[in-house]
Order: sequence, then structure tokens, then C-alpha cells
Amino acid sequence: MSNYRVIYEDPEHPEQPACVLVPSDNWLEGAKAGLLPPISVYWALQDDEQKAITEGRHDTFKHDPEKHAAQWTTPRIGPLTEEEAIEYLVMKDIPRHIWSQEYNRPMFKIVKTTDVPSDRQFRNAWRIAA
Amino acid sequence: MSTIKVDTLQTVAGNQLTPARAWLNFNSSGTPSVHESQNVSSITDVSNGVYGVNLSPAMTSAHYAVSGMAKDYGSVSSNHTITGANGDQNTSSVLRVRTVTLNTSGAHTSGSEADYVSLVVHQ
Repeated sequence: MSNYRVIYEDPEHPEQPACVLVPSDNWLEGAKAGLLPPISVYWALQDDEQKAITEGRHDTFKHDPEKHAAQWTTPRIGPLTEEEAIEYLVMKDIPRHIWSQEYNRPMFKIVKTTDVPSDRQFRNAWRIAA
Repeated sequence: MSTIKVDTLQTVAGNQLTPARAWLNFNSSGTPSVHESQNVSSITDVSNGVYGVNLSPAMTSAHYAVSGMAKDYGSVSSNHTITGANGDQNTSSVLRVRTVTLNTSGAHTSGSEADYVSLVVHQ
């Protein structure tokens, strides 16, 4: 099991509790073995789909076959450490506006798994400390 | 061990076979953890009983089929079921689901965590 979790808040939805990103061990093994494509491959797909959503044509949207196939055909980036893989995961699975823009306080934090409270009773009150 | 790589699987009659594109099994109670998975990079614990499943590789579109179940270990009185997460749009790379508790009449009562949540994605 991964030693890390990522806690993040979405400034576009301040009413929502903090989210917890949990890596898949299987994916992490692949990352350590060097099986991942460049992150830009996923961003290109996300950008195309976001554009379709914005333009109201998501119902009929399908990825461009060549861009979709790039997930397998693009040269791999090589083995990552677990820490590097988590950073890659942040850029892949957390909405881009959360980690790419500066806010007046941190919106995400990579934490040790053991630091995540198991009792979520007061989770709506969680705030990420600097 | 050998690896078979093909673009398309078909029956002798020419009907296309579509194996699961992704699957996972996770524990959503307390601090969530992924038991086992394939083609899933992570899960996001969004709020009580609401999860995002981050698919990797991404599907060709958001029109995929999902099946799943949720339960608790041991002898407990509550039953769970899985639904789509209302208000959250699925994308080709993010599947949003919600686990809810069913009361004795079979009506769902609230979002809830479950010890054992499994999902399979076909496209």
C-alpha cells in the first residue's frame, strides 16, 4: 500500500469537504516500472473533453483515435520513485486549477497515509495547514 | 509467462468480445484504500459515500457501462447499493459513484461508507 495520500480542496467549491486522493497500488507498480507515458498525453485528452463539455457536445464526444492511442504508443518516461509517481498523479488526477494556480493558502498537500484521520466525523471542518 | 497483444477480440462468428476495461475493489470506510485494481490510477474520496474513480488509460468516451456492488464485512444490519453521483458528470477518465445505505424497505437513506466496494467498467 502506498505511503502517501493527497488531500485537496477545490476553491471553485468551497462548500465541499476536503477530498482524499488514494493511489492504486497496481498503478504505482507500473509507474515504478517505467510504464507511464508523458503527462502531456493525458492533458491533451482532458483538454479535448473539457472543450466538448464547455461547448455542450459532451454527449456525442469521442476522443480522437490517434490521441487516445498515444496512451500506449508514446515512448514511456521511465521508472519513477514513489514520490515522483505521486507528483505525477497529482498532475493527472487532481483538477488542474487546484495545483496550477496560486491561492492565498495551500489547496492540496501530499501527506503520509498515517496522517489522514480515519474518523471523518468532523471532515467538513478540515482545512489544509500551510 | 507469455503476453498476448491484440487490437480486437472476436468470436468465430465475428462478434466482438469486450473484456473489462477497468475494475477495482476498495474499502471506503474510514481512510479509504484500494484493495486491488486494474486500469485505475487512483480513487478520490469526495464526500461521505461519494467517490471518483480515476481511470488510466482513459476510455474513448464517457459512454461506458458500469456494474458494481457494495457491502460491509461481517454481520451488520445495513445494506448498501451503488448509484451514479447526481450532479457529477462522468468523463472518459473519471467515473463518479455514490454508495448509499438501504433501509429495510429498500429505500436508500443516505450516503454511506462500505467495507467492500467493487466496480467493473466495460466499453
